[in-house]
Amino acid sequence: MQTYWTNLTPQHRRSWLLVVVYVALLLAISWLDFGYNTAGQTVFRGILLGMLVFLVASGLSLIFGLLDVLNFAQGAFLLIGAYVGYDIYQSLDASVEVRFLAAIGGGVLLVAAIGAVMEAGLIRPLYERPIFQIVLTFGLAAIFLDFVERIYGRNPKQPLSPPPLLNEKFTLFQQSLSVYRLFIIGLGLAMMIGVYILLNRTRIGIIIRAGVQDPEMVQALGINVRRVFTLVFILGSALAALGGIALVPYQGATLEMGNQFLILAIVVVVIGGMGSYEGTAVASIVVGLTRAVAEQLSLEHFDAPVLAETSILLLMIAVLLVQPSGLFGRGE
Amino acid sequence: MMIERTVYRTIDRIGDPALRRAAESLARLVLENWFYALVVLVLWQFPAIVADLSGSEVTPRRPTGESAFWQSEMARALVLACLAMSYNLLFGYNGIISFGHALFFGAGGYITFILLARVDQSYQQEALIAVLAVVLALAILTRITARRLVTLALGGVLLVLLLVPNTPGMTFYQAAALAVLGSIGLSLISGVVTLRLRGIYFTMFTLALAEMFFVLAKSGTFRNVTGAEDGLGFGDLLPAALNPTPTADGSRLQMYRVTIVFFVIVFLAIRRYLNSPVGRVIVAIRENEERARTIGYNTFFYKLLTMIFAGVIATLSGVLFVIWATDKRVHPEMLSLKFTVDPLLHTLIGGVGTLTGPVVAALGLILGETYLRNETFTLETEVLGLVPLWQFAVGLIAALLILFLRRTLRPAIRRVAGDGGRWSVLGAYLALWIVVSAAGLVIGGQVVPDLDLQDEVFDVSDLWDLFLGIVFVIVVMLLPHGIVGTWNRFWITRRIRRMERALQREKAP
Repeated sequence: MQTYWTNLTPQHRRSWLLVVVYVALLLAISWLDFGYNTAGQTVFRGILLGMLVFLVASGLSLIFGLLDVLNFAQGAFLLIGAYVGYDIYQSLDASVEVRFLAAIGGGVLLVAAIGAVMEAGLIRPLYERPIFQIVLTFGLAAIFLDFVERIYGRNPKQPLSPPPLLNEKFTLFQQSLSVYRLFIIGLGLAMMIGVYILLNRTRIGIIIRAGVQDPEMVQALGINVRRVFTLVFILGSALAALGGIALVPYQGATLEMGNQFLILAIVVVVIGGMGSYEGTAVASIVVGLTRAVAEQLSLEHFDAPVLAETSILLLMIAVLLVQPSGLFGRGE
Repeated sequence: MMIERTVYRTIDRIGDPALRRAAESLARLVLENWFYALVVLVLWQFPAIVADLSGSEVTPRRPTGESAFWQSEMARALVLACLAMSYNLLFGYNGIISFGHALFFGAGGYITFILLARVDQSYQQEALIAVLAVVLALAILTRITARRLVTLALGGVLLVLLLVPNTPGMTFYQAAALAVLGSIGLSLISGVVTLRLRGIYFTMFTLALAEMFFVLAKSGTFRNVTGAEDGLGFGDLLPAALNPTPTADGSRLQMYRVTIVFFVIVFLAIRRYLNSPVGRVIVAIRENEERARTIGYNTFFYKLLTMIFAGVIATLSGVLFVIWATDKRVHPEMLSLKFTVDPLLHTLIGGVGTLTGPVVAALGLILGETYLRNETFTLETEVLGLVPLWQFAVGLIAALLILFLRRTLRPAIRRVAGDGGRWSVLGAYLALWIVVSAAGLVIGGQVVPDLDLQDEVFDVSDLWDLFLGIVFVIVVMLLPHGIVGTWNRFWITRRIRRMERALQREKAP
């Protein structure tokens, strides 16, 4: 009988086991150490963070898998999405719900357009020089950051309250929370499943997955791979922008946001394995949980947030030492 | 070129073989290095030149005056040029893309001054021996079989240097030497772990490692060691010979000259390294690592060696950079991504894999930045008094957009132009440009009249990063070999063409 499990390579089976054991360990530690309620809150925070990181990381992973470009501008896309969304949400003359939807639509569309122009105009001529692509996205990220800073100023923007429907309170683990957090988690899950369906159940998804395996062969079969590349780039940048807009009612918008999430996303993609979609999804949850638990741990036991700040990077180093191509990456 | 040919022809006529060989090597030394020597001479006289031009003193009593200011700026630019050269050694010559080079740069500043300022006097000897032991143990444990001697010899020399203490505490030089040892240890640890990773994973790993140390240096937990975000102040711990504080006896000038000497040594060392057999091997590894391994080279060892070498140069640059810091503090910024990205930019803009490229770019960009930051410019709202600036900008952006999108647009343009040849293709592009610009102007016309347009006074300091980014994108897109690389290629192609023409002329009759 062919099941998901039997189709896995031994390495991936081991990775799944590692992930399950690690997450169980994290949950056990937090339960034993913080008590039931605090542990629940921590885990909730971790999943929330994981979902946000996933939105940036999935784009990074898709783009890397297909185009072999590590897009350092992904953080800048998140930033642009957040600021533009903020602008639209704040200044549009309409009801709250319309403004919210307009912010999401406007930000995502703008960033998707930027992504399209960037791929077609700047990255495409450089496919023969892969190193330069990495470096170029690096430079572009700096330019985007500068533009945002010049247009919107250096001061961080305060969080805007979400539409009343999403602003209601609910109680979870004895903590009163805004429904908006659930919305973010739902959005992340929806995207996770949506992209999964796109990749596995549609024709374009088959082409994308084939392109990850061997772009030249796909081209030889008469499919315009370059156009698919552009599409994936647009999809990736739009996902990052969506993450940025989702952050606005939750954390506001700051200039550092882009780089923070970029580093997290890079860690996620490296842990999950470059170009592996399931790896990215699993790794974002793992990274979110790790970060949240480490934060809580250092809050309760140490005076300083060092553990929280370095935990993710330590996790990445540990994973790379165990499996040099990430948990679900293609082996050597 | 004419001179070269004449000189070598003259030498060829010398009868005595020994004399001829001597003359030849002398001629080669002079002909290949006269330009570098000239540059060093200019650098050496630079304070005096600035002083003459601006009418300030070379060694002023107080830290004011153009000459004193430019001495420190030039010195900082030279130090960062050394950093860029070491990055180029990794990236341009060995093909290792590390995003963690700032780690070594920061290690120089932090290790030296933590040892000097924060370690108790009575423990300094013990700290010294402990670090030494760790490094030597690492050198043995990493099992560098082929040339372990190089490492051990280096360690031995430093050991002798270190174990002759003449003061109860540690001198600055000993601390700096320990920083070098620490940097070697860091290279060994990170190299052994990371060099086995492939391509992008290696880059990511180095990024994470450097970022981690940046977070650690910035974090409040270790405030009593690193000084957290305020940085580690070291005040008057610098030895008299290396103190750039401008005083009447010319200590800043002296430090400036020390910096030049350091720069020259680094340049010569890197050139020597690249011209040695090891240098040939690392270039071979850049070109094709599999092949180098198949031939029988232990590529891992050569990469590690290059990493150590580049790391040591970066560390020493870090020490000098801290010495030149105006506020006498080691800032955590030294470990930040900035000091990885800057050398990367300098390398790319100057020319990847050229010896002088990073230096040209680093000096040009850093001095240019300093100059522009101290000036203000008035941006006129009209270009040449004819077109409003924003309209000009719209046209320019439209042109650039079409230029960058030309590959995508080509099929469409072909369809429009048909078989009309070159001129109708050009016409089609022109028409496209007019349409795009007109659209931009119409949209812009809706927005702009609301703005109050005036001649704007620009403080360039805000614009510099943007400018740098744009220069960088243009260089990456249009000048893939960088400034010096393109220059070299131009002359080489010219020479080849001439040779071809000469050959044809010989064949013709």
